[in-house]
Amino acid sequence: MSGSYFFGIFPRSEKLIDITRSKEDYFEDLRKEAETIVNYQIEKGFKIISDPQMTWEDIFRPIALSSEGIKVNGLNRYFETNTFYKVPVISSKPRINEERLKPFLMKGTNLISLPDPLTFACLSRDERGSDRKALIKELGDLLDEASGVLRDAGYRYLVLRGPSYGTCEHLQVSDEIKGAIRSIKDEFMGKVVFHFYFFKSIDSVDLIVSSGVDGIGFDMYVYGEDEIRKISTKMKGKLLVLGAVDGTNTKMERKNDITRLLSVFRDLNPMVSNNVDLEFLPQKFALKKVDLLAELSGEMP
Amino acid sequence: MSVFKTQEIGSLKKPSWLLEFLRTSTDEEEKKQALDEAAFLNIKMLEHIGLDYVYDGEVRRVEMYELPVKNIHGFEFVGRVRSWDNKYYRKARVIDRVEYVRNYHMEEFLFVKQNAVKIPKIPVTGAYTLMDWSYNEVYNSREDLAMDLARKIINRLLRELQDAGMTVVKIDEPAATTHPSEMEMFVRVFNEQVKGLSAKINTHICYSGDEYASLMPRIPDLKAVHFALEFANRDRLELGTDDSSSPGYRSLKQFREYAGNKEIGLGVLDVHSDFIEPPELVRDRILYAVKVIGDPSRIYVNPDCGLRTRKRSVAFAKLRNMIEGVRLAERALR
Repeated sequence: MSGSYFFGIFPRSEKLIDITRSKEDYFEDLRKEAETIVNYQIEKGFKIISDPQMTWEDIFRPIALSSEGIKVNGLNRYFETNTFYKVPVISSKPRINEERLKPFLMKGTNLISLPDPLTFACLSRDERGSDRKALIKELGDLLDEASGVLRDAGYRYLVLRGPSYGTCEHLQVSDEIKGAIRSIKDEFMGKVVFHFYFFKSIDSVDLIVSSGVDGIGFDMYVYGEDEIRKISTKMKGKLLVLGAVDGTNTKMERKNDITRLLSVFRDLNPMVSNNVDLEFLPQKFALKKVDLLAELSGEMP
Repeated sequence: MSVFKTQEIGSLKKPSWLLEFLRTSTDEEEKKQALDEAAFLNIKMLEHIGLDYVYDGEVRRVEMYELPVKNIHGFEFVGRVRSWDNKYYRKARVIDRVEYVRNYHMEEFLFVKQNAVKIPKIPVTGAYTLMDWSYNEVYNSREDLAMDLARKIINRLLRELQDAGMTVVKIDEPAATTHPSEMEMFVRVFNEQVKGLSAKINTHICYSGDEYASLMPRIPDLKAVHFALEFANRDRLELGTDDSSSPGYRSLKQFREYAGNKEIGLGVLDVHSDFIEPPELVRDRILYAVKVIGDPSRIYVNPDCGLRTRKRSVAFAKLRNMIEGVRLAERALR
């Protein structure tokens, strides 16, 4: 891996928003616009083509809807944003239904993101009780199955999204997390990057390093340069991804600031990405951020 | 003499005839007349139902964020952002330091004051929420932006309304508990925007991700005397006045611990459901609050939030049952 990419749910255009407001079934409209975002990346010269996940109503929904043993019910705030997700409610050991998951995947792309097992567990409700260890194990198995479907669909890069490590107790379940991520990595067979965002969780880095992932990404609006410098000494050869393009603000980053940051970590041959999903921006601003990432691709030290 | 004061939380769905008229008419004078009539209708409906504090259903406002932002220099709308599924909200960015342009609530306030028999309680979106719901491209920090909004915009707007006769204001701060780590900043910003006011300061904070855990310890520091909060959407629908039958109201215990003599605006109607709460359910929610809080005079009764999410027929039916539930609770206490 080298260069730049974006990950996560991409925002809808104003036109598409109007369509979704005017009719009940707009799934095909979402797919059509997703295709334009895929083509946009190709035109911009990206080597890693991200699935814009525009049919994903939230980071759990397609997995929840494609799984036996999970339903969604109730709205919860997605961390400290004004975006909400439907809570996955688990009633029995979940199993993925491959055919139900496939329509959510975009052909012609090679990178996709999934919630990491801890985030899935912390933001779900287990109707059977509160055995966190067992739940992480089960959700790890589920994501493991999903990873196999993603691999067969042609994805080569998987971003595991871990916003929960700063808010959800994880040290007591570190063995389960490690095992689950390792298993996902083995099943997926491509490159897996774990991405920390929203909250700082320096004490989790060792855990993720030892889980076998290929790289670790950081939200650079949460982690300071000095902290990343210290963390980088513990990365043990893992790829460093700097989430330096801000998905939470319309303000455009200065290209020079990011190239300077990249040069600081030149020895680690870092990549650059967005810090969080771009869906928190109106689409025209998200596209500007993608343009910047494309420009930065040519600036890698 | 009623024991519990009753109030609404601002917004009602706009009447369909009004929306149609505003869409089709090109006569600005006629549009203004239609808005006046709709405002008058809302005031009288709310008074007829029996509320003690009323407003005009926010019938002249597009929405609680858009109206202020359209009328403050420094903002620019940039597009819609998804809230969930196919629900979106318009979002603005701050492209210049904010400046006061006009008092965007004065006209509606004067109309309500002139036409209401009951006490007008004006809803005003607070500075912290305006900041949190916007992209900041200019200020060095979130607090700098929020403070500028508090000092230069909201405080001035409130002082002018007070000079025009405002005796009660409800400052809406739904974003207050979104970032628990910013609660100290929220307190500073809130207090700055109400500095120097003698009107009664109420605040409404809703859909708290942490069930107000981060807010409660800060209540003594906030220069508000009344806290209208949501509870019903988290509650069970079974009757009863003990802890097990009132799980949605468990944060009342924290309120008792921290609030001193401050008042609670008890949300007893779920605004995201068409279920019409029976009067007996409202009664039990109030009686549970009395058990926890003690002094009934500190308990006001209201919906969880604005009822604009519901059809007007549903909203009014809910409010009627709320008043009936209040009467049942008062009878039970006698």
